[in-house]
Amino acid sequence: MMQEQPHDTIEELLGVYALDAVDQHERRLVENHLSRCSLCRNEVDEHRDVAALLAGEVVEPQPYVWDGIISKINATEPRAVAPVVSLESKRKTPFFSSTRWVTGVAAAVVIGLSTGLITQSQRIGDLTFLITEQERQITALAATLEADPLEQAVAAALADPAAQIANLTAEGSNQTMLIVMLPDGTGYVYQSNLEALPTDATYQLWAVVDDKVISAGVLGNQPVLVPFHIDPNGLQGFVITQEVTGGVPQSEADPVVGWIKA
Amino acid sequence: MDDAALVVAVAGSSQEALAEAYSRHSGAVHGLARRILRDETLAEEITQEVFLRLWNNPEKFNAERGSLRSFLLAHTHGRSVDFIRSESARRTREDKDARLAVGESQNVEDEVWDMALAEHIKNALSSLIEGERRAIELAYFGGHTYREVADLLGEPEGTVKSRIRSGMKRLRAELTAAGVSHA
Repeated sequence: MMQEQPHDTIEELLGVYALDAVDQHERRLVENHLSRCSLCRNEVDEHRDVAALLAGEVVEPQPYVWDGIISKINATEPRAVAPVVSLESKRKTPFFSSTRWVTGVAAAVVIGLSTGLITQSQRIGDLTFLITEQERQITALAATLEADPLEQAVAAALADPAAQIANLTAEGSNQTMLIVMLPDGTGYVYQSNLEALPTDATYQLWAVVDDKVISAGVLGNQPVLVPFHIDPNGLQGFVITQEVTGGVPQSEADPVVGWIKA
Repeated sequence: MDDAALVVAVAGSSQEALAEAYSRHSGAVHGLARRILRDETLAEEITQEVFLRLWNNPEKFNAERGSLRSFLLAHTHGRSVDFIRSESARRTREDKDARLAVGESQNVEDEVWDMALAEHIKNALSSLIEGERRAIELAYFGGHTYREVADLLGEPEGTVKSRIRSGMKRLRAELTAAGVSHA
């Protein structure tokens, strides 16, 4: 899990973050915090507005720069938003049947419920339609992830042969969330169709490690790209719950979606 | 059509809308990239990338979080800095010293994008203490991390971090007081 930093610590980084003057680790810390702190988001926006005013002289680019943009647009297929995979017909076993998952999830791991785990080697050797669909998603996503450092980190993770992808689902629901995990325990929530929550609520990610349920991060009320870090050893699954803003140390909430490692 | 409506049209695959956004902001984008990178070809690549990203991911722009120009320039800056950092791994210490010299020649006042704004910017900058101003220039235009800035200026990292934040806040307060709200 990414180490949670106090608000004051992050606040001190907002000026240098807005000017891209932080290292990658600090950038992730700040972005993790910004995903749930509107006060800090506002300050970063204000710093960037000021920076834009300082940006300097206007230098019109040569006409061929625009021509190049149009050529690249026309050379690509009509864009499509990477679809969220529907697993309604692909699920093998109901994922959650208990309303209190905290005590039941370890047992569920033991008896081996369905899995969405996909390794790169499986992609090569066993091209099921699910994997094909996810590869298509990854390709589409990677093609569009070209700017933001967090997006680049996700793209790099998706391209990493050692990465694993967890597809979090729930019985009787079309809500899904995709997580890419690197062997060092760095993970990213990179796609989700979970419904947006009110501003006083948040989604929280829990990792099941060695039969224990550990908070892996507070994702905000509308997760898009969220980094986190966990101890990769003994990982058995992930669960998402809905909590009050700020998250909780232990959850009593029903799972929204989840995934258990094969 | 305002910028927010333009981006909505871009999201609807209107190349005309993208052309209008490009017409309005490509000069600022290209100018900033060129200033940071000091390389025309690289600046052109960054300019293309910034507008292709607007085309491919228009939903990333949130009008409630700032102007389109600010959004595009933030991306321009981030990508330009990424390039500098990737190059910096190969830099020698002498090169670093040379970049400090470059930083010293960068004068914010002389290159504001709108001459009508120049006086306001100049006044706002004059409200900064020298340490704040130098730290902001080296970070923003030099593409340095605050740790590098601290090293270059011989100041503690925490001091540089605080000066950049306080300087940006002071600039905003001065510009707001002068009636300049955003880019």
